[in-house]
Amino acid sequence: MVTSPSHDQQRLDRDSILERLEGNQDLLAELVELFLSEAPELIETMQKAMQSGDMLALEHSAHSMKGAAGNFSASSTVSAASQLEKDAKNRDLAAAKESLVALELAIERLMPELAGLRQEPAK
Amino acid sequence: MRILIADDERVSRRMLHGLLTMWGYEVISVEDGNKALEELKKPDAPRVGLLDWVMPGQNGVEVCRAIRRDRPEPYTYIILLTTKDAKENVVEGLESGADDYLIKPWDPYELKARLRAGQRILQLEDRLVEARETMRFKATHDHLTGLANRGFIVDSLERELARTRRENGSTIVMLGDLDHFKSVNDTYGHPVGDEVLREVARRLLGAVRSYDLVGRYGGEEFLIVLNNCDASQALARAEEVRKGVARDPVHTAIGPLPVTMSIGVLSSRDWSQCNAEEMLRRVDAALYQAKASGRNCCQLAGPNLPCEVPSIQEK
Repeated sequence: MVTSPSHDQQRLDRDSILERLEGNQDLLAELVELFLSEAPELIETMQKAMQSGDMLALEHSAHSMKGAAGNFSASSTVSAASQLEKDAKNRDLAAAKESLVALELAIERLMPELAGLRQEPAK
Repeated sequence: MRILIADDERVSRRMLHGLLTMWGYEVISVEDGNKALEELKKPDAPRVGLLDWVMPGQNGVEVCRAIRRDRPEPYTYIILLTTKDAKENVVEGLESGADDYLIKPWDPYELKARLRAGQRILQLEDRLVEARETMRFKATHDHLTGLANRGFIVDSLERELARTRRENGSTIVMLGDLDHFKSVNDTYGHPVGDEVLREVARRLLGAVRSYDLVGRYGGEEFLIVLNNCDASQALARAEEVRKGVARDPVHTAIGPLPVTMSIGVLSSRDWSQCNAEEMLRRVDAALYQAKASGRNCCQLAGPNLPCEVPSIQEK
C-alpha cells in the first residue's frame, strides 16, 4: 500500500486532525510540540544506528516515526518511515541509506507545516 | 474506570492519554512492556489495557500472554494497537489472549466504541464471578447460622491437620453440643430453636480468634478448629468456649432462654497418629462422656491409644 512519492505530497489537513482530537486545540498544540522535539531525536538515533550498522535499532526508530507521523496523517513521512522500517528489517543497508535520506527530506518538509498547525488559521 | 496505556512513542501515547482523559477515563501511561506488565499485575490494577504491539522490553503480545498466564482474575480486557495489519499478525495477537485490536492510526470513534464493548464484557465477567462466589458460599456454609457447613468444616479440619503436621504444631479440635436443645424445639417451636442456634453461632465466633474455624456439624452440634494452638491449653480453651455460650440467656421471641453446651475436645498433638476421621470419632466419644457426666462441661478425649485400625477396635 505504498503510494508513490509524487502522489503523497499532500498538505496536512488541520480540520480532520482536529476532528480526531474532538476539537481539542490545546491537545493538538501539545502533540505538535512533542513531535517537533521527538522527530530530530529519532532522526539522530537512526543516523547513529545506520553508522554502527544496528539494523534492529534502525527498524525500531523507523517504526516509532511511522507511528508518530501517522497521528497527523502525514502520509509522505509515514510511507518514507515505513519503507525504511522494511529495509532495516530486510537488513538491506544500501536501500536503508536511501530511505533514510528520503525520510529526512520528508521530515524537513513536515516540521514547518506541523508547526503551523498550532495556531488557528486566519480566516 | 481506569485504563493502562503502553506505547514507547511519545506523540501516540500523549494523544491516547489526552483523548481517554477527555472521555472520563483515569489513565496510567507507561512507555514499555515491562512497566505495563508490572502495572497490570498490581492488586488494584486497571481492568483495561491498551498495548502497543511493538515496544522495548516485552512487546504487547508478550505482555498479553504473561497476563493471561499469571493473572486470570480479575479479568483484564486487552486491546492491542498495531500498525501490523497482515492477517497472520492479527491471528497471533488474538491467540496471545488479546480481546481486540486496532490498527494504527486508529479512529477515535472506533476506539471509544470498542472500549465500551470491553466494559460490557468486564461487567458480564464481574457478574459471573459474583454469582459464582455466592454459589460457592452457599455450597460451603450453613444457611441458618452462616457458619461453615459440615462438609466444609471437615475439609478445613483435614487441611489444618496436614499443615499442623508439616509445621510440627498442634491443632485443637472441639465438638460442642447444645444441652437439651430438642426440648427447646419441642416446647417453643422451630423458629425459637433457630433463634437460639443463630445466637450460639455468634457466641462461638466471639469466643475464638478470627482465624479459627467454626462450623455447624449437625443439628445442634458445632465443630471448632483452633489453628496452631498450644496442646496443653486444649481443656482451658474449651472451657472458655463453654462459658462464652452459657454466659447469658439467649433473648428470643418468647423471652430469655438459658443455654448450655457440652464439649468434647482434643489436641492433635496427643493424637498424632490419627487422621481427621478418627479424631472426630474420639472427640465425639469425649462429647458423649461430657453429656454423661452431667452436661454443661468439657471433656478431654482419652486415653491416647494407637488407632491404626479404628473401625475394628470400635466394634
